Amino acid sequence: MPLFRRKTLVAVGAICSVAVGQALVSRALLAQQPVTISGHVSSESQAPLAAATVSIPSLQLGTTTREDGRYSFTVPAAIATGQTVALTARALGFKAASVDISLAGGTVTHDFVLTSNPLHLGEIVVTGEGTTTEAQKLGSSRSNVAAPDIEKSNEPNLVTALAAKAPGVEVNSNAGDPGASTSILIRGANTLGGGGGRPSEPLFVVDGVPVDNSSTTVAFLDPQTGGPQGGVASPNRAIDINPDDIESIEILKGAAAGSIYGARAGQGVVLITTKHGRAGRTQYSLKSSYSFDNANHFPQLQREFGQGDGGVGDPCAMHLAGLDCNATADSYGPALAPGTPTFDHANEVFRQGDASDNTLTASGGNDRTTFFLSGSYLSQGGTVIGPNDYLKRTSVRLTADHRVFSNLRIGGDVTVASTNQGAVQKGFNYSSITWTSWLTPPDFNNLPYLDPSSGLHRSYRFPFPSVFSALDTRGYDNPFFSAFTSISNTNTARTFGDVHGEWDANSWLKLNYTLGLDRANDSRLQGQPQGNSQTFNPGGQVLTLDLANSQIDHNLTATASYSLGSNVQGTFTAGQNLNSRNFNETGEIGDVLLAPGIYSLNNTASQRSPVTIEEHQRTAGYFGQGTLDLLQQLYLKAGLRYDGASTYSNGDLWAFFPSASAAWEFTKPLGGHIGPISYGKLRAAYGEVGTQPDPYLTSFIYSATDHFSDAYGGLFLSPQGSGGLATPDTAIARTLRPERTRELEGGIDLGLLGDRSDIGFTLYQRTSSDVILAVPVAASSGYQVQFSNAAEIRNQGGELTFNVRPITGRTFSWEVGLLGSVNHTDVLSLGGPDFVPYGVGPTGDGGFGLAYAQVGNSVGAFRDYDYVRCGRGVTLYHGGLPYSVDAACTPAQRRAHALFINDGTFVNSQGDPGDGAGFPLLDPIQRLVGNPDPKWTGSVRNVFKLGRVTLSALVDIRRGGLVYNGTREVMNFFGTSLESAQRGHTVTFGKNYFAGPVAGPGAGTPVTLDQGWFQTYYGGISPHSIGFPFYEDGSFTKLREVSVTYSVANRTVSRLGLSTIDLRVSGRNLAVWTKYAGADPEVNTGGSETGARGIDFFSNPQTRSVVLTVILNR
Amino acid sequence: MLTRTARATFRSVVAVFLTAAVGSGLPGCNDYLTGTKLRHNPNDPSTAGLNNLFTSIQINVTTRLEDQLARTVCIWMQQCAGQIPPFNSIGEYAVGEDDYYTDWAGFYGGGGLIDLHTVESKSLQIGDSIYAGQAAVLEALLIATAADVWGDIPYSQAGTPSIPAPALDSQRVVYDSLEKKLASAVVYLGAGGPSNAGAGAADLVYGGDPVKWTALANTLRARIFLHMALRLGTAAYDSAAAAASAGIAAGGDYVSVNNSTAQLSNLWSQFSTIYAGNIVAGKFLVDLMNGEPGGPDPRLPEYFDPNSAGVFAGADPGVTGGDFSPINTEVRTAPAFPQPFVTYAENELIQAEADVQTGNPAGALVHLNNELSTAGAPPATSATLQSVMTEKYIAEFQNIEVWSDWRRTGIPALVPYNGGTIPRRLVYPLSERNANKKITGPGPSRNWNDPGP
Repeated sequence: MPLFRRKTLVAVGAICSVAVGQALVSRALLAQQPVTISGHVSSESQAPLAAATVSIPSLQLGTTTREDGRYSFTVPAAIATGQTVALTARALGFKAASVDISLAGGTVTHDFVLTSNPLHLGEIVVTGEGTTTEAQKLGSSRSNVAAPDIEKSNEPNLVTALAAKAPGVEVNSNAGDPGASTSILIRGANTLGGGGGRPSEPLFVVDGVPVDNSSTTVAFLDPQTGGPQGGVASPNRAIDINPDDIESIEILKGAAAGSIYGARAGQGVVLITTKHGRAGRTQYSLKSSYSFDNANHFPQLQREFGQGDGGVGDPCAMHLAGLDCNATADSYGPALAPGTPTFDHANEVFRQGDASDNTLTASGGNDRTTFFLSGSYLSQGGTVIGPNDYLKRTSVRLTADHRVFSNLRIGGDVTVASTNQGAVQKGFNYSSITWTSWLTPPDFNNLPYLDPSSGLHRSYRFPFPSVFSALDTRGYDNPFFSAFTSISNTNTARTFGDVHGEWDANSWLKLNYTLGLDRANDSRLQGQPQGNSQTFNPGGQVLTLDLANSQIDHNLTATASYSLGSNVQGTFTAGQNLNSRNFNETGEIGDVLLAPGIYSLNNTASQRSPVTIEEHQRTAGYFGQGTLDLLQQLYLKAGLRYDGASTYSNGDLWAFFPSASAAWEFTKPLGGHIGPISYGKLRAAYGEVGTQPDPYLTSFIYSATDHFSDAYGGLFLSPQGSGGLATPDTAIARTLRPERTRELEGGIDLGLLGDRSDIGFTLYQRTSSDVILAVPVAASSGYQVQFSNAAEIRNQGGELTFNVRPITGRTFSWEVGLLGSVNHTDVLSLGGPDFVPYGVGPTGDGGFGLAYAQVGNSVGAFRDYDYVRCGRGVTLYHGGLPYSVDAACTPAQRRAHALFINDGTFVNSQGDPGDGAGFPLLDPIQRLVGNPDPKWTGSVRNVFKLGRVTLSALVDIRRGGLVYNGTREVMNFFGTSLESAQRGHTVTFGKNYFAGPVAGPGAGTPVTLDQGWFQTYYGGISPHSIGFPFYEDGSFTKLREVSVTYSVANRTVSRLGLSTIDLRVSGRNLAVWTKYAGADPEVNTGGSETGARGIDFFSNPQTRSVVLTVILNR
Repeated sequence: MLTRTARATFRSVVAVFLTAAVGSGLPGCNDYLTGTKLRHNPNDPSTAGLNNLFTSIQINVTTRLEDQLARTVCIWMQQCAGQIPPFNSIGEYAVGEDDYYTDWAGFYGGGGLIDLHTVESKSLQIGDSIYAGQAAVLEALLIATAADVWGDIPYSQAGTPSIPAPALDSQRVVYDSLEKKLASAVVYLGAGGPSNAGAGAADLVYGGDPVKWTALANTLRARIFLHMALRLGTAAYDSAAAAASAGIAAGGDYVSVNNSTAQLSNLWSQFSTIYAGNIVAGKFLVDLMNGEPGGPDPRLPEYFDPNSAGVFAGADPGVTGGDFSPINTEVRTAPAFPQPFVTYAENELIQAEADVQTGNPAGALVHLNNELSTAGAPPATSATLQSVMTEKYIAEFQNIEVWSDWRRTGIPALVPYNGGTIPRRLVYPLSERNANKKITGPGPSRNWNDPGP
């Protein structure tokens, strides 16, 4: 061993001496004088191309063009020896062009005219773990989103900016709150959460370093705040990345593409490349934007009936019951007399939000050193009234690259961001802004929210507070009180970056090393005021949560190139990756504020035991990849990753992930084109990727903090503090391997009519096996679930991109792009059970008791209760005797699942008689409703350019997929929904109420709708109540983005010392077409904390925005 | 073929890789993946002592007897009334087939049968039979409650993770084995010697007192005999009376472990704080207590608060939103309120019922009046099944046992909601059936011990 070490040292020493030696040699060959190279780059239509790269690849020197297409850079005398070199110009969307120039004579001038390259041929594509290839050699489909598309979206959250930009990538912004999370789902859900309830979200990698994009809620700390479906909207951590720093995003969708990331790529990989400096004149850009945001849709509320029950006003609400009385929560009081003032509770707590975003960037450098610098400040005020709904992000970034020797480059990137979010209460919680305002009876004025005489919180359920009621619950808060006094802040300090080195050991061997770090400290403070209705203690509560998250990533790759003539070429890459992730959190809760308004643990009467959690996990990976390019038209690639992780069980610490792909440019052997097909490529790829288990699933513990929780949310007793320990509900896994996704994908890319149009089409089938889930075991065995590699999920789908450029003139051009995708998720097996709850993580019931993985259906399918219908084998009771519903239905009624109408003599198997003769009965058996997966998604993008004006529009279409409109169900119960105003109406089921076939002895009997109907049989709070009628089609068409940009470049601009001024007016979500009756079919109350989708339970509405942007370029 | 420089470079590459590999661990050299805090959860212990487990079991027993099950029984027995989902729906018998899964699972999981098995076997291993007896009594209390609610339940194979799908035991067998377990617990609890220390301070209710545990065991035996009386006939009443004669004495109630800390505060208190107004007084109980011949029952203001009009008013099932009395905020929903589970009152009333059923009304009257005087209520002049069971219905406010009593005797005569049927058992939870194919359906509409029309 000592001998070995010495040899290593000698060898490492040798690297340095060789490198230094080479540098000295180059210097020794000094020649005459520096050479300045300059010129102009334009398109075929003679439009100047800005930001095009002009470089001498062999010398690694170059620059980018200015706004007017001009470039200039100097080759230092030290390396200008009169040799002939290739000068290359590249611009995004254009074919690269090269010319040989001679580095002699002081100046060289060359103008490039680039032909457009919609197929991105020759473009360098980042493929992960330090590898790159050229676009035409890719054997898998490519989804790239470039900087202009991200900028134009004006979204503070880069994930949101990806919406409708790549087929097969479903982006869902979960709520309209500033900083609310956005979910991203690639080619369907294929995991049940790795054992930790994590959603099916991809790995995010910035400049080669994995970064955190998780979303954490404080709810786990306090089981009484209702899990992700209550509480506040938490951000996903990609919010810390300033979208203006991004150069491009490469989305590795399939397993073949992601395989190099092994067991971390199971849900895809989002590779983010940031902007870097380029040699040449320093360029400055100051972007200032201001946006106006408005909540875009509200539920419809009734304004006819006041507070009360059974048509009678409530004595407390009518001020007949004295102070401190509790009024009914219902709006089933008397019909309001004409002239009675009513209030618009649908949108009274909403205002126009605004956001200002200022970003300054500077980039430049010389032949040896380049830099990119940016500073950005975003300040957003949300659409909910009051000071507690905001997002502020300050981000500074510096990247620098330095060429130490001609063959050795080092560089670093560092981003420091401070992200502070303030959120208002949402969802299923009694301080929720929407819950409390949309349930307020129309005749109750929520203003003022403080009682004029006592100065204390008044709400519709506690209308007349005395001075003695400061610490009493209000039943439900007044929404204004909650908006103004309840706080929930996240204050995140995030640092991520890397140092990297690249060494061209010689002409055929290149080494890359990256050491990356991502670290975040998130300090949260949640304060509930005295006299609130939400917390365990209405005397107020302070909750603090400190999260510390770090990730260290080390990546070393060596790439060797070989060439056996021009017809046989290729590369071989070998690499090692080590990754370590650490997570710590500490939470504390203090109950009962001593003095009002101060949210500090010091100001609480009692403090609960702190909760601390730490998690550590490591992965080690070794990978190899070989490519073979044959006849300059057939491109083969094969790769293998050998992955180890600390979270696998002892006997299974390592796993292999192979991949292979082929691409064939079939038009090449046919002379370049076949009829209208000017370019054609066939591709096929197979790959395997994995998903790691969460840490500690194989480690047995006793728990002091597990609560013996109550079936009804929010109540608990726990042994903590009493010296108790108990067996947890979850049995440990005996063995645990990574989840494995095998995917076969094939497709074709075509260029038509000489670049006028292009089409890409991909089909894939991915099967995920060994999917980790908490398999339900019989609770009577002592455990409720046990982790194991038990499930199998299949996703199949197709993706289409279609671009047409009907007009490509110099002054006028028009481009149309279509994206379309279908995906079908099928749960093949769950290791025994037919369904398991989904979205349920350590943070609580994220699936809300409705979302399940269901064999034969999807991940996140809904199960709920329906009415008794024909054709389902339901048994009723009639005079104590069983009665088969199906026997009383005709075959047609059974097929159509006709609604069984009671004649008043039947009860269901629970004894429930329903609302009487003429009404349907509740079916107490939970049944599959459907799933939230869209049938297909698509988008249409139009870009018109007329001179210096660019008009672009993006329409996002989603068809199919259910959304649970729980808001409507609850509002029916409380009598505030518009449809609940039908009380007192006489209707007949199947005729003028509840369209559809009816059956049974009571069919055709007219009934009068009453409070009981809406409260038990057509309303309630799922999962305990009738749910089926509240699942709605979530299809939508959104005018996602529209913008007009005018780029000014004239003498006035030059006189100001600027090259151009860009003025842009843009709109986001300006129009939404949907039949969905709730706030927005895109909302998801659980956010990115849970994998469950399509649950709208008092989410804060989405926003529509108008954004004004000015960009000064120099 | 290779140049010298290339050879040197090749060496360098090899060197760099080896350096990196040695520095960070090669495959087979797994320290990098198996170090401290990587394989073993650093957040919780992997072992637990007897006392740790016993305390948790007592807390779990409290949860099981005080949570949704108790609220549901209170509503179905019309002592309470639901106002807000799902509690209004419960009053209308609209419950889902998995709504009581958490409760079901709680009987068997952590703090339940699985941990009881550990405590009983470990305490016998160390020769502490008092400890084993205390655990056996808690097991009987817990499992008998499950058998009351679901009838045939997994028991002999349950709480044993090596049996993933335990079979059902008949309710009769469960009751019989629990009664035998209690009988042997009485023997265990009487043991002497230095190794027989018992739970001591880890027992949050009795402080480890074996005498109180013995009395509890006897009352539970009596309770079990009563539950089987409709099947076993008069002999069961004699057995019940005999067991109860050595049952709980005044001051020896087995109550909840609640105290005012957040982790242990009374679940009715937690409920009324968070879900204020969701459950109010039931009209039947309020009217019954208001209408007593000697004036309102003295316990009425202890159970409920007056409504905003200053009177006691309860809601009928299905009636929501009126001006109804809440459950008393100072007593019954105080965080530290010790919820009575198995009491002296029950023990006396068991004997009163047994005496009535065996033709000894005079003896019954003594027991009834013992109970009434402890409750601060005026004495009765006669004891009938009606009067004894009505008093038990009042005395056992919020106790799951009320449901069993009503099923056995039909007293009091409750009028179901809207012509519906008051449930007589809970269905086997869907989640259990989903994972345990030994349970093939939701189960019968009545349990074995609940015959009759």
